[in-house]
Amino acid sequence: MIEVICNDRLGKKVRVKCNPDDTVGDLKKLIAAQTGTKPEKIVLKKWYNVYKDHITLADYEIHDGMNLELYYR
Amino acid sequence: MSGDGGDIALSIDETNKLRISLGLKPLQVDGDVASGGGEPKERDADAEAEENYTEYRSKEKAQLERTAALDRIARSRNKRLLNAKLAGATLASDTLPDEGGAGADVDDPLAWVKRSRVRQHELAERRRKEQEEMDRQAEEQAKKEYVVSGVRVGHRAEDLVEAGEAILVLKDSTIEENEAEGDELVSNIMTEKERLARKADLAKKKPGYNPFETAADAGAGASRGILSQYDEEIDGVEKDSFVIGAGGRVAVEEERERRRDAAERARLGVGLTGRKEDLQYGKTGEIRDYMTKEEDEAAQTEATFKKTKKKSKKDRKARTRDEVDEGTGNDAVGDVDMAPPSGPVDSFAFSNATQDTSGTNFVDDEDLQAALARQRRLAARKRAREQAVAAPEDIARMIKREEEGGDTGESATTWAVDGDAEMGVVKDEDNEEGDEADPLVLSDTTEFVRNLPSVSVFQERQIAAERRRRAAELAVSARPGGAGGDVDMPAKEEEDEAIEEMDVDGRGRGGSADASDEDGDVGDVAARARMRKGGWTEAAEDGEIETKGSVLERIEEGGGREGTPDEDELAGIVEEPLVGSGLGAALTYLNSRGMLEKPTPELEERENLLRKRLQWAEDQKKKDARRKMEDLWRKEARKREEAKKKKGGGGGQQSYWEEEERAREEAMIERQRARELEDKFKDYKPVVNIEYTNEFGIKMDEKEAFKYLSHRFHGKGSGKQKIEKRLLKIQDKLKEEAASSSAPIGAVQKLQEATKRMGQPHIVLQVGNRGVAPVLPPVSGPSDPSKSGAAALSKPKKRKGDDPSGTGKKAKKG
Repeated sequence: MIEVICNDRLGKKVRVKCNPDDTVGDLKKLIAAQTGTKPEKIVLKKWYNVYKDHITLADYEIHDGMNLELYYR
Repeated sequence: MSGDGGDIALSIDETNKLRISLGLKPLQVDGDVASGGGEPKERDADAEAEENYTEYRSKEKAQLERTAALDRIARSRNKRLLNAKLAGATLASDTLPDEGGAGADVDDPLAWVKRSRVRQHELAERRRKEQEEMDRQAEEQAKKEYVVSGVRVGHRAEDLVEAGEAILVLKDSTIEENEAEGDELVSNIMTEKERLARKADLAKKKPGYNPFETAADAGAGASRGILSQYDEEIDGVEKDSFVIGAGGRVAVEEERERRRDAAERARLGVGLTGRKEDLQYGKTGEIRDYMTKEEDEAAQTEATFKKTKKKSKKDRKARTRDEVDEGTGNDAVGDVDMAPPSGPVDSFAFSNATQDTSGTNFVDDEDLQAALARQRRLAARKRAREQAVAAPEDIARMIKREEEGGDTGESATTWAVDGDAEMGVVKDEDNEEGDEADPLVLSDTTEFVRNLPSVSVFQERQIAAERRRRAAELAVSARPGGAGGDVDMPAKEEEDEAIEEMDVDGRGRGGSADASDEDGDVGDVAARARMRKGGWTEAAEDGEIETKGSVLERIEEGGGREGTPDEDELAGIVEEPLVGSGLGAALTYLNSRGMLEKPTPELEERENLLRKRLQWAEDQKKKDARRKMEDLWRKEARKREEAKKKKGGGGGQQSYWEEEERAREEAMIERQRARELEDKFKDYKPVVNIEYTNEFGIKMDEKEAFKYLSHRFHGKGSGKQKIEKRLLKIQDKLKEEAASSSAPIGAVQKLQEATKRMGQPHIVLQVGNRGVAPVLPPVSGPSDPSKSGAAALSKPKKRKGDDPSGTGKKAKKG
C-alpha cells in the first residue's frame, strides 16, 4: 500500500491510500470519492506530465508519499 | 475522514470500503505482505534466475552443435559435387571415343600418337573437299551475268585504276536521292581521301582571284571562267563519276572525252544558272540627254524589245535548254527576244523606251521593271497618236499645251522630261500672247516666282466671274465643243484614267475642284510642281492648291448670296453683313466695327480659369455618372451570377476560383477608383482669394490682418491711444471714400465753391416753404479757401441738409 498526496493548491489536499498496481483512473476515482468531484473532471500532473488513466502507478513510478498536482478540467 | 493541516485522508478500512464500492481489490497492507511471504518470493526469484540461466546455457550449446553438424554436411556435399565434375572422359580418352575401352590404353603414349596421326589425315581430307566446293561455287558465280553493269561509280576511272584495288560499296543515300540518281558505288577509302583533300584545300585559303595570274600559271585553268572560285558554290561540287558498262567494262577514253566536253560547255556559259556579263562598255562615250535623229532611227529599227515578265521567264528557260541541246554558238546572249515586234512601230521621241535594254539586267527589280514597261507603252501609244515630235521646241509646245489644259496635263509626258525641264531653256509658242518667239523659260527662279501666291484676290474674283459666265453658257449650249481648254477635257479623261495609277492623287483632287479652264492657274501650280518633282507630286502641294480652291469657292458663295453684279465685286465694296441672322453675326459685326472692347489679359485669364473650372466640374459629373452606372452593372452581374450559382449548385473548386477571381477584380476596381480620385484633383485649380475685414467690415491688408488676428489670438490689443488713433484714421478714410464716391456729382466741391464765391460760409436753399435758387454772384476776389470752407462746414447758418453730402440737398439743388 502506498499513500499519495494530491494538492490542487486551491485549498484541497488529499491523501489517498492505494496499491502500486492501481491505475491512474482508479486513483482518480478514489480522489473523486474523497473530494466530491467527478473523476472525469480530474487531471493529475507532475510538472508537465499529465498522467493517463489506463496506466498503473507503478509504471509511472509513483511511490509512497509522492505529491501529485491536482487540476480540474 | 480526517484532516490534519487541511488534508483530506481516509483510514485503511474506509479506503477498503470505498474500493469495494468502486469495484477494486482491497489494499495490500504491508503487514499482509510480511505475513504472506515477501521473502520466499524473493528467494524464488533467485532460484528462478538460476534455473533460467542453466536452461539458457543448455539451449545455446544445443544450437552450437546443430550449426556445426549442418556445416559438416554442407562441406561433404560440396566435395562430392566437385568430384562429380571431374568424372568422365579425359583428354587422352577423348581421342578415341569410338573405341569402347577408354580406360584400356589411356596410359599408352604410342597408341595415342598413332591415333592422332590418323585424325590429322582425316582433317586434311575434309579441308580439301571444302576448298574444292568453294572454287566450284565461284566459277558458277562468274558464269552468271555481270550484275553491276549499268551502275554508276562515284569516282574517276583513272583514280580507281591508280588505287589498284578498291572495295566498292553501295553509297549511303536517302531514298529521295536514290530515286533521283539511282544506285551508286563508292569506295569508302577513296571518299575519305577526297574529303580530306578538299579539307586541306580549304585550309590553304587560296585567294579566289589572282589578278596577276597568267595563262601559264593557271595551267589547266586556261579553260577557267571568270570568278571560277564561286563555281562550286553556285553549281555545287562537281562529282566525277562513270558508269560501268556491259560485262563490267569501263570505257575510260570515252569518259575522258565526255568530261572535256562538259568543261568546254561550262566555259562558254551554257548550263550555268547565272549569265556571264561582259564588263566592256563605252566608258569614254559622250553622254547626251537625247538621241540624235540618226540614233533614234537606228534604235527604232533595231530595238523593239517587248517582253512581259511572265513570258520571258518561260521563254528563256525553254530557249536555253534548246540551245544547249543544239549546241548553238549564241549562248552568251540569253535575253534577246528574236520575235518580230508586235503592235505599231512607234517613234519614241522623249521616252527611253527606245533605249537598248538588252544589256541591262532589270530582273532584280521586277516590279519597277513592269511599271516602267507599262509606262513606256502608254507613252508610246500616246505619241503615236499625236504624231512624232522629236525636237525640243515640240517638247516645249507640248508642255505649254498641257499647262493650258490645267489638270488634263499628262504626267506620262512630263515625267520623261523631268531632267531637261530644269536646266533647259526651251523655246515656246505662247498661246495667250500669241507671241511665237516668246520662250518658255524654266529655271529655279521662275519656279520660285510662280509658286508665290501669284493669284491675287482681285484676279481670283475676276476669274470666278468668268467661270460663272462660262458655266452658264455651257449649261445653255447642248454642244460640249465650245471653248478649247475645257472641251477636250472629257475626251482626254479616259486616257488619263489609264495613267492615273502612276500619278499621285494630287492631280485628281485638283481636277475635282475645277470644271473649266480658268482654274488653270491652280492646275498650273500642280502641273509645274509635278514637273519639278519629276512627275510624282507630293501631298504638300495639294494643301496649297486646296486652300486656293477654297478661297475661290468662298468668293463665289459670297457673290451668290448677295446677288450683286460682278462689277460690285470688282469695285471692292463689301456689303454689311446682316445682323439679324444670329448672335454670332451680330458679334462679328460689332467686332468689325470695333464696338466691342478687347478683353484685358486679366479678364481673359479669369475667364479662362472660370471655363476650366466649369469644365472640371462637368468632367467630374460625367465621371461620377459613369461610375455609378458601372457600379450598377456590376451589381446586377453579381446578382445574376449568384442566382445562377444557386440554381446550379456550385462545385467546390470552381466556386473557390470564382471567389478568388471576384476578389481580385474588386481589388483592381478599388485601386482604379483610388487612382481616379487622385486624378480628380489633378486638374482642379480653385481660385483662392483671401480677404480680411475688420470689425467695421473694412478690408485690411496683410499686415493689418496679421496684427488683428494676433491681437485676437493673444487677447491683448493695442493701447487706448493707439485705438483712438486707428479709429480716427478709419473715420478719415471713410470720409474720404464718401467724398470720392460723390465725386462725380462733386457736391462737396461745389458747395465749397459756392460758399467761396459768395463769401459766405453757407448757402440758402430754402426760405420758409419755398425753394430758393441760390444766387451766385460773380466770383469775388480770392479769399482764403480753407478758412471759408472750414467756416462753411463748421457754421451752417440757414437751414440746410443735415448731411453735407446728403441726397436731400442734391435734389434741391438740382
